Amino acid sequence: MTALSPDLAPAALTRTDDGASRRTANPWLRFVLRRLVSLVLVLLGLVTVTFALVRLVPGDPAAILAGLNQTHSTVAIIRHNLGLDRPALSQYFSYIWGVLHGRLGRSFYTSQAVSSLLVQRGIPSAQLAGTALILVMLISIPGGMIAAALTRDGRRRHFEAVFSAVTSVFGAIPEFLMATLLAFVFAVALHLLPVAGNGGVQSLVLPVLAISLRPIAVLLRLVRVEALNVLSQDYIRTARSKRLGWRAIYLRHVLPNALTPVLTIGGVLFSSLIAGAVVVENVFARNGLGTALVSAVLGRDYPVVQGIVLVLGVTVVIVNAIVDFLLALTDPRSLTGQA
Amino acid sequence: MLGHNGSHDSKLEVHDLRVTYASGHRALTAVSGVSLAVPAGQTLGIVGESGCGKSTLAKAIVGLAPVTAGRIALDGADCTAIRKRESLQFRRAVQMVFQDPYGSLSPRMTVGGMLTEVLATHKLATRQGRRAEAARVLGLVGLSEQDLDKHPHQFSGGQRQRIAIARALCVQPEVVINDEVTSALDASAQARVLNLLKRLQRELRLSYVFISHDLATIRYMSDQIAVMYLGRIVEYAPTADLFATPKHPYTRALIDSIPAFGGDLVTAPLAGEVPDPARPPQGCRFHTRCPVGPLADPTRQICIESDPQAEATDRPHRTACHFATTKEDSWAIASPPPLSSA
Amino acid sequence: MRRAFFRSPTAVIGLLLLLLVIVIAIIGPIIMGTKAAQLNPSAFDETPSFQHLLGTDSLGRDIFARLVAATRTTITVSVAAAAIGAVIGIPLGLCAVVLPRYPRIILLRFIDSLIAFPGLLIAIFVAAVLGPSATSAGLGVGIALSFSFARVSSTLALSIAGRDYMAAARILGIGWTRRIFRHVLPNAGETLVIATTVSISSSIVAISSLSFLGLGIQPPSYDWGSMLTLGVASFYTNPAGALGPAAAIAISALAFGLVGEALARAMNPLLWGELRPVMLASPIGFRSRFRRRSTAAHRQPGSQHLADRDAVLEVSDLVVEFPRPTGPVAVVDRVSFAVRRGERIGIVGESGSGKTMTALAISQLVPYPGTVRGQLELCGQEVAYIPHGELPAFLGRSIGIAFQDPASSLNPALRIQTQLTESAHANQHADRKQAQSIALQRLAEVRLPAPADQMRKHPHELSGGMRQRVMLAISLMNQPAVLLADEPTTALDVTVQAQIMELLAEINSLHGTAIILISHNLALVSQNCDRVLVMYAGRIVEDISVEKLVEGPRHPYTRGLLASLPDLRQPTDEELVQIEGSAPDLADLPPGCPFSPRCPLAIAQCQEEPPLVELSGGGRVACWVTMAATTAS
Repeated sequence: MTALSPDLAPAALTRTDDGASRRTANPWLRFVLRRLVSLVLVLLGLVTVTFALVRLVPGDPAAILAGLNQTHSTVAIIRHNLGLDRPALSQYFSYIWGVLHGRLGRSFYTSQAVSSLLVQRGIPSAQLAGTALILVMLISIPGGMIAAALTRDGRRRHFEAVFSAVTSVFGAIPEFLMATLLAFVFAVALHLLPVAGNGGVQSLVLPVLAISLRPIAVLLRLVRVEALNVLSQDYIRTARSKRLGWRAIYLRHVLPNALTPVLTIGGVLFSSLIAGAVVVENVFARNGLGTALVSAVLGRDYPVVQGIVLVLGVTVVIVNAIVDFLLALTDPRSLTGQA
Repeated sequence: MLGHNGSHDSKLEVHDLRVTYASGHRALTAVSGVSLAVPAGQTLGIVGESGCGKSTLAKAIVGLAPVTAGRIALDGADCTAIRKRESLQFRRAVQMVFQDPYGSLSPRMTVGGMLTEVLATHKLATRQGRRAEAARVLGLVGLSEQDLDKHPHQFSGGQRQRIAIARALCVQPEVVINDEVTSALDASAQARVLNLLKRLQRELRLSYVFISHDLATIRYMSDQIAVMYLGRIVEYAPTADLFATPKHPYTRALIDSIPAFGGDLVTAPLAGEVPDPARPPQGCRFHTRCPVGPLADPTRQICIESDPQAEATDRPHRTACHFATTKEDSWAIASPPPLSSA
Repeated sequence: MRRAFFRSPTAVIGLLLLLLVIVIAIIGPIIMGTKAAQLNPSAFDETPSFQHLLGTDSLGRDIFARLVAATRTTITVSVAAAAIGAVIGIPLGLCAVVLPRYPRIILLRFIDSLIAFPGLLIAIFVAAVLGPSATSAGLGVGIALSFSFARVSSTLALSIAGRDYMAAARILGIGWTRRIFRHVLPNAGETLVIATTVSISSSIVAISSLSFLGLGIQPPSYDWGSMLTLGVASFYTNPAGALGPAAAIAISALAFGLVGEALARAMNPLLWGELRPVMLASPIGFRSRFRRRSTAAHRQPGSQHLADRDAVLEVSDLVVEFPRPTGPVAVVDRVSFAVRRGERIGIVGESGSGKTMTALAISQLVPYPGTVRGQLELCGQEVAYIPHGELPAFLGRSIGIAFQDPASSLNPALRIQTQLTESAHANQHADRKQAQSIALQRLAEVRLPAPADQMRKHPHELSGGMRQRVMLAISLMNQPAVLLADEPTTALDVTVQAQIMELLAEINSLHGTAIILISHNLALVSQNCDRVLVMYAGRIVEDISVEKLVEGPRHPYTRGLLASLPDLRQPTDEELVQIEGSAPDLADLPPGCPFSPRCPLAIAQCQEEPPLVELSGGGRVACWVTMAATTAS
């Protein structure tokens, strides 16, 4: 027994903050607060950028927007519609006010409220992106873990080589190329699936595949590498020394640690899904936000462009915040920034 | 503050140094009021466990950590201002060798490149003569000219440390700060590096600050020793005196904790662990673990109320403790409580 | 470096493709320009033929010719966009290093939030604002790329800035320009090269996507992307019109990517020599099965089977081998010893001596390519004869292990409680309540303060000493007969070390658990063990009781170890004894005694391997000189 019983001086013995029990509620609270604040700031930044960009371009923004076939009257109409004849700051505030109330202006061409357009065209896009996201998660995470288990310690080098080659190839094929190839193989050559159209599950298959295959390949590689990394850690050796079964080791010990880096790029992954969706919708002629965006850009329909970019941006920001939250759940060190 | 009050033949002096980091919402004072002096041509050893601030102290001296208060003087000349310590003049006089032999050498440079770069920066050799000079310095640490063209990863840990020492020697320094330089090495490499350092000190008349957590190594290398705990110096003495008559309870605990070769297992002299440096205990920082403090003898409340100041004195052996006596005395005053059932 | 580059087949392929692309970019419009512009309205949408390798498009133009001619446009705009990205992004990211703390945090968060946005959207937005054109496409993609450049360069710069060699350069007085160019950039070079080539790859894809959508290069100019638009429109009649440009885009992107990877690998001096095999721990499968009794030929000459009825652990002729390109290397070479119930033995050696691997072999945790041979008897049972299904639980109940670095040996994602109870679940089939109470009991035994509170915490919330106590508690969950402690205190303060050693002694006396303490510290082992095994180059060179060790060890290596360590009685004016030479390369051992090259007492006979023999006074030694001396006396 040591010279002094440790119970006599508990405060000195721990490296944790004294009064740790007082603070257990706080790390989460502080974290949520911090995230909320940065969320609001980023959203504000997004709104500001979409507002400011067209006004920052040298020259008369209304004239730029009017394009080549402008006359004085069209320019004047545009200027009035966008409120460009008012002082900048008042434009900014009325814009923000409008955004908060869901008023995003009207299309130059159809005069449809942008907000209703967003809803109308947003749903098919959400279906597409959402299905793709689920598919990516369901295949990549278990797939990567299995690949890691099979190739750990340099086992099965042939399998590893094939795995690497296949994922490299699929990871390098951009969405529109994949869409083109899939369309060729399944629609043109095999007549199995429709190449265009908006109806039903069948028309969803090719677009979803086109968007998902690249992220799946990229994520499979990443999950495998991260899982291998985790497998080489000392704490897995400790887990082995407890003679735990493979389920306990992979699901309880490896998975949370391997997920952390995966979640970290989760936000970026989602963005690329959205970008992919925009392109693929145009290949398969689906009536989503992607096609709406392109035609709006080509037709210089600025309020629609602004609205779509805003909505997509907000989605990305919110998804990233969710990812951060999930990250805090799986990696307790990130709460206090100790990772 | 406990420490050395300076004397005429001190090469490097530090007075009442304070180093504070702003860490999150709390400020962390890693070094709070340290004074010491390195006599010319001798070694000052600084020993302490985790959280004592010895590495921060070293970094502060060379300008890698911010000096919040206090003075630093080289050869009597004040050089507390950061630009003075970042000057080439100071850099020529004071050099440092790090703990990690794998991280302190750039993986992409050749050994020769590292050495000639230093020579070029300080204009210590002509363009033609740099390589020869680099080879000479490398010879001082027991490596050969062929090693100039190799990369760090081709060497062992002990050899890399010797390269790091050679790099520091290129400027012909007067003071070398050794921060845990043998802690990451095997026993055989350790012996070699320690012997080398001693030999270089004799031949080149170097003054050393030698930092370590290992008391035995410190004892072997140092002429004077400062024992640190939680940012303060708790005892300061010539080496022989420190080990013959350690006065501070922490020093005694450190000495007793070292496994004696072939000795019997003793009860651990100290319970608990070092408190969080961000929240040091009130009064004497050691009182929460002190075997002769308020935990052992509740009448010794002074340890909680007041921080033992250094005696303002020129005596060579100083300690910061309200009850500093020899070991025999203190054990008689407050014998440890009987082994409880805890 | 050139050799390193060309060693990889993918690099060579990539380089060839890249050269092809660049050459075509340069000469394409010259040789195919006119043919590409030839309109032939009557021959539209034709499928590939000898005359038109990819067929014709809806205006009768030769697709192949247009493809070749479009190379220059596509590649130039893409490279320009990547350049814009680098020029904006890299300095932005580098700012992170020079900024003080709070502005830096804000900058990094800012960059992080920018990264989150889809690059394509940003490019489309810019195109919307400026009007679709090649310039706006290049600018838009460039801006989008700049965010990833900023992120990469800030991470890189911060990581390099934190390295010791950067601090050393500052202290040496090396100026900041030199530090950037001679220290930062060479170490950052690899990553930047990859980042640049990857960005060119992405740029090619992005520009082509924009053109495909009609937002990039506008007619009459064309690039692969806009060709793709036309091709998709006539997909059913002539698929080659779409597949051709699509393939061109993919191949160019791939070429840049491959070359970038190969360049980066070639720039890393660590990869120029032999690739060292990386050993990973395998989590399942007990690959190191012990073979049946080895034949006499495998035994180390003169080794004896130590029959001891009271032994909880008996190891005979243990060999652990790893395959190397030059042939298998034995990191543990015919090790034999026994441990009695309640005995405390220490295994001492420097790094590479095989002491840790011996412990791993005993507990069946040798990592994958390693193979184990020899006999192992645990608690009186020969391990090789235990049925495969019962082996894990048997081992779990017989051996406990505490590893060296408690910081990395505990899973950071799991609570302490889980890491304790799961051992009881797996090896004792305890239910939740039982396991929890056992866990609390063990935590109290290792003197962890406030055990109930600590159970709910995660490892990073505990101090080093507390973590090591938890590790010990985990290893004791199933009350094993043997506890293996591999350098349990190396990462701890010396005052905490004393506490842990005292704890081990308590465990030994309270439960009768045999303890095998592995360390490089001879003094620590001598204080805490009854007997010491000294290992060198995978072999036991001395087996001696602590009493005899204190009187004076026999083997020259042990003597050297003892003499070279500064302890509190060392005369400070004498040089420390150095053991000459350096640690042996296990793949290239000299014949005979492995220590002979460094041994001050080596004689001619040492060319022949000395057996590990028992000495009359007790203990064992593997040394001809010692044997001669003891027989003489």
